[in-house]
Amino acid sequence: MTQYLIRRLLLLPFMLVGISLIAFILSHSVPADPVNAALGEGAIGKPELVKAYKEHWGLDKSLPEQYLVYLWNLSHGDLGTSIISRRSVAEDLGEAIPATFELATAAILISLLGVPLGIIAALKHRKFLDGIIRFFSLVGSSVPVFWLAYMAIFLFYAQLSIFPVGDRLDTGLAPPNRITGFYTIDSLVTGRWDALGSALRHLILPAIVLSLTTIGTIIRVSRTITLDVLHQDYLRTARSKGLREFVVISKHALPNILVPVVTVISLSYGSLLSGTVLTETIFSWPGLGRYAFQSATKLDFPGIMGVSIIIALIYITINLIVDLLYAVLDPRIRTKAA
Amino acid sequence: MELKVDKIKPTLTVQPGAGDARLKSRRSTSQRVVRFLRSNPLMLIGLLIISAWIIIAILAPFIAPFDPVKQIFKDRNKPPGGAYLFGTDELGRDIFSRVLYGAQLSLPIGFILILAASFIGTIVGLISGYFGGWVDEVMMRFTDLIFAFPTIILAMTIAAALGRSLINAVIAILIVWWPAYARTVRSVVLTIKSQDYVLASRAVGARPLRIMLKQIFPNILAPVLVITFIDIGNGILIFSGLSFLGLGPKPTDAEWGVMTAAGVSNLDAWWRTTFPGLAIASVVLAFNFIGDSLRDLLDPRFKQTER
Repeated sequence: MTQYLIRRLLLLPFMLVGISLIAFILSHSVPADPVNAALGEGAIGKPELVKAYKEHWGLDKSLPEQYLVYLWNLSHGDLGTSIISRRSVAEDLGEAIPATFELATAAILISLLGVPLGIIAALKHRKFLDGIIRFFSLVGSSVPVFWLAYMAIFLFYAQLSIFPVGDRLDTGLAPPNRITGFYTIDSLVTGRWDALGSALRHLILPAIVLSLTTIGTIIRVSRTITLDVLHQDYLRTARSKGLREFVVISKHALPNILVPVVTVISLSYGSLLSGTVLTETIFSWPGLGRYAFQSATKLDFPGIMGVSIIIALIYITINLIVDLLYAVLDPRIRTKAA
Repeated sequence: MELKVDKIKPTLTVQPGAGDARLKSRRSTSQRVVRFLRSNPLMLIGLLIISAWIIIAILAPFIAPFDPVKQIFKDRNKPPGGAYLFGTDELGRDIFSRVLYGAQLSLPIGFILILAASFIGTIVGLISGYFGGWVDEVMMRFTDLIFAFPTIILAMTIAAALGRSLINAVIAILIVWWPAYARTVRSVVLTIKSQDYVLASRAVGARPLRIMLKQIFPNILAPVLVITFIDIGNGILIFSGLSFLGLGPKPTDAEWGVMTAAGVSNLDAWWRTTFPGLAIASVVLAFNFIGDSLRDLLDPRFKQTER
């Protein structure tokens, strides 16, 4: 296990180079003039500006050299300037990352409900309740999230006007002082009750919609793992010792169910952090997904490169943490490592 | 005559349970299929929905009440009812007809997309698993790289870079989709290639291509086909996602994702988004019903609970 983790860690820098290379190739296959796009039409009359920009990004050099220049700038935290926002990509991402983390965290908290549902379904295997829960979980993973988002907006915003839609706060409301970047937590800590209420109301609808995409998977995995555990010999032993069914399940089965379930939840969290393009776009949630969509469709390639590198980095890190977590939670893997 | 009756008799009076296999073989295939489907209602529902959509796709020109691209301006944004079962869109096109015609695009795209991904993945997985060594290392690190990007982000970026078109969206999804198949096939190949019959074939002097095609491929075909079939729903889902984002078919095409997107900004004409979205959901749900039932059936761990 330790060997495996060390191997994973050693591969990380190579992965990063590969990811940045893919991002570089992608953004350079975009059919647009980078100088024109970055500086705007007005820059044509100012050759010294164009020259400075070309030098900074090595645009007068060959493509492989340009890539090296990009890597050099990247290692200094310079991701370039976004063509849409005209600000540095790093600055843009600095605001988008906590927005996405807040949304994904809220969504994963809601979808934790899937764990007890999956266990109940397995305990009632092939009974009516199992069928209902299975049906619900399948519907959850089948419904297109963009359609679900529209339905939620139509019902709760347009018809019932319960929740606001768009952005993270009501317009005109100043965001709380930044501590974590989570508007809910920051406003709670700084005592900004007006902002807290507004942030929560803005968060709930997209979080529920997003959670429905993962809850199905979590239910299914919890159910399968529970079914698997229920047929193990040690449960039969526990029962034959005369233990009550409740004790058998909670003391003997549950720990073995929860370890793999935690893994799946963390992996879902990783995919939520990176897969919120559709939800964020529809709810105008200013996070990474919407940023990725906007920079991809508006051919903002410093944006595309920056956001895809950051997202891939988050994704890989989460997967690595999941592996570590797995080793920590499961004593069998731990002893093997020692 | 009597002798013959006597000969048949034993098989007729077989004890239930003892001659189960014999009884099964006497039952006709259609009876067995009926029995199987009755105990798996989700599978039955899934198959019925998909068959219905396939029939709709074929018969769309005959059953659709309107031309899907014909614009009737006096009837713009009409709610469902009257001549328009699902209402009309902003250009006065009949949504019911467009949804029916949409099956002609979404179903074949889902099938072709996933079949192609599984085809590429199978070839790569076969080569990678069989030869091992640096070939395997290079191919697997490449799939690692693709896996490092979240599916929708990479597909979206590729589609945007290639430019908006139906084909480009399919290519973009294909690029991000095949590695999963390569991984699965590779892991199966790894277990099969050390089996005795493969070793025997190699000992006889069969060349790698022959071993891969004649010994290994037939043994991975069944599981790969099952995974492929289940995956079609996911293919339709991600394609509709891209086309919803405006990276797929033209806005005029009667495609479900495009239709959903066209209605999304309008919170009054709910029918413009609701019905195409329901169409996508029903197809994907049907594939998931079948997939989930198959997984439950094929998983040997759950055999004991079957009574």
